[in-house]
Parts: sequence; C-alpha cells; structure tokens
Amino acid sequence: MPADLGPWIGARRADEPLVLAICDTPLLCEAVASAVEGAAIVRGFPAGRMDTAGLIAHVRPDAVVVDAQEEADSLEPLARETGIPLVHVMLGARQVRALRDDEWREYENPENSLTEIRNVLIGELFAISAHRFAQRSRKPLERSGDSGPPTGR
Amino acid sequence: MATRIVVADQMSVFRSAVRSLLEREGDFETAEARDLDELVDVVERQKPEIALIDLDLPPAGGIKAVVALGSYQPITTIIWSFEPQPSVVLEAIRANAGGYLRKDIAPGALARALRGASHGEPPLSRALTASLLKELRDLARRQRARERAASLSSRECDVLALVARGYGNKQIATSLFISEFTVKRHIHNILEKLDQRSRTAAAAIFREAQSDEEAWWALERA
Repeated sequence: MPADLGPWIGARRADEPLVLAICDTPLLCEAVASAVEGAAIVRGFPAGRMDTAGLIAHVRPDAVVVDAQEEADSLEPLARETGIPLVHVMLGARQVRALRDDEWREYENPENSLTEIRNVLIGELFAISAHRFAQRSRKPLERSGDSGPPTGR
Repeated sequence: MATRIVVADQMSVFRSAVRSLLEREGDFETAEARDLDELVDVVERQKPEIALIDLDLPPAGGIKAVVALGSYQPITTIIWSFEPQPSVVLEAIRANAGGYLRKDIAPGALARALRGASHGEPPLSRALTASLLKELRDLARRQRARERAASLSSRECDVLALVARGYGNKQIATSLFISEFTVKRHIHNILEKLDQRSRTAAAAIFREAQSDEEAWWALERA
C-alpha cells in the first residue's frame, strides 16, 4: 500500500458506493474523491503496480476509475464480465469514457473538468444501482408468474 | 500561520485535487486560477506566497506566467507538468521559477514539496535535478563549442555546415560555387582554428555549437 495515497480517503458508510480509482496520476484519485464526497467513497491505488483484476475481485467496488490506457484495456474484460462500471479518464485526450452494457460511451471533456468526470461517474453509479434494484425486484415478479406450486426453497 | 497558495491550471481536475489535498493538510489556504488573468488577479488581491502554475496555462503558457509574476515579489512560482523535458525545466528556472514538479506527483509528496517551498526549499525532484544538471552540462559544452566556432569566418561556417551534412569536397565545391582546392583550404583552416584532426570531429563541434533547430536551419540554408 503506497503511504502517499493512503488506503481510504474518508470513512465509508455501509450504504455508500465504493469507487476504486487506479491512477497513473495520484492527484486524480484526490480529485475524484473530493468530487463524489458524500455520494461515494473512493479508494486510490497506483496504476500498473499490482494485480488490479485480483484487487477488484477482492474489494468488489461499485465502480472503477482508471486514467491509463493499459489499465483500461486490461480491466475491460473483467468489467464486461462482472458488469462493474469502468470509467476511463483520458486527461491527454480530454475525454471521459464509460463502459456500460458492453459498449464504451465517450464524453468530450475539453477542459478536463472535474464536474464532467463527476457527472459520468455518478451517472454510472446510479445506473448500476438502478440495474441491481431492477434485478432484485424482477425475481419476485418472475416467481409470481409461475403457475406451479411454491417450491419451498 | 497558513501558507497561501494559488493553483493556476486550466484543468479543474488538478485545481480541485490540490485544493482538496491542502485543505485536508490544514496549514494551507488555497485559491484557484484558470488562466493568467485570473492568476494575476488572485496574486494582486490575496498576495499568496506560492503559485503552482501549469506549464500550459492559458493563454501563453506557464513560463510566460512566471515572467509576468516577476514584478509581484515575493512570491515563489512553481511550474508543474506531465513528463517535463529537461530543456523546459531549465527554461522555467531561467525565467525565475522557484521549482518544477511533475503532475503525477503523489499527494503527500506534493504537500511536502509545497511546505518546503514555503520555507525556501526549491521543489525539484531528484530525477528532475539529475536531468537539469545534465542539461546544464550539455549547455556548457554547447557554449564551449560555440566559442570555438566563433573564430570561423562566414564562408568557413558554410563549408563546415556541409561537412556536418556529410558532403564530400566535390559536393561542397559544387554547392558553394567554389573550386575543390578552395574547399580543401577552408577545411584546413577550419581544422586549425578548431584544433581538430578530422573533419568528423569538426562537424561534431559544429553540431554542438548549434541547437538542433539552428543546425538544421543552417544546413537547409546551405
């Protein structure tokens, strides 16, 4: 754990979404943490120095933010498989893109505005939350449509 | 007493990150500026001790901003950027920047660097210091080469430029509309003045004497 990044930026409430920020530019973690303060908790890690797929499997975040192309490429299959939103902040290209529903959505960010990054990230967190809610509420509906007797499970 | 810092950067990501970091540290007061006009305004009104300035600060870049802040002493100006080139770091220091930082600096290191700057320690990473020293050594070598090349006549410079380009005597003679004998005489004089034994060594001094751009310009002109 790099001492400079610190394991947690802020303390986490149980109902708070967790965002993993894996960044080449550590200050981006700081910026993202300040931007989503109150809405999510951000845990920062340096890019390219660890098994990030293993880390994600262990930490089970609600979203992942990266700023390096290599990191985005390496995490894309995992994000597709698990459905965890992947937000790629492209400081050089002045773009933000988010992987959702198996496709990248790209947003121009000419001034590398933190508000734009925040909006994309919060949007992704909302989308995943809505998706999970829909999954949870679909299950009883599916059962109520069953014509057979309750299985007793 | 809190150290007043202005972060001048067109990218709000970095302004917010530094503000957030320094507010947490507790011993800093932070102001923000998106461009040179805002920076000058903040400096005039709030009189910060330190200005952290993006190399690409609009409209004309961070180094011009450092120069513009020259009349607002005492203020320590620090340039920061991604992947700084040694020549750019040197240019910033020559423009009176008090230090240079990389934008991929860790938050804790940034806080330490700014705290050090407030106590008069120039913020410059070890890697940047090493590349800066190399740049200074290269600069000194180029300066020595320039001094030696200054003894050459204009015609000898033309001849040496073509030697550096790999031309043979016959090609030089054709290019400059002179005889091959005259070319040989010029080269003899060049080697004598530069105290070199070979035209290759003389060509190396020519390249040292010029910055890359100047050398190519001279070659194109020739």
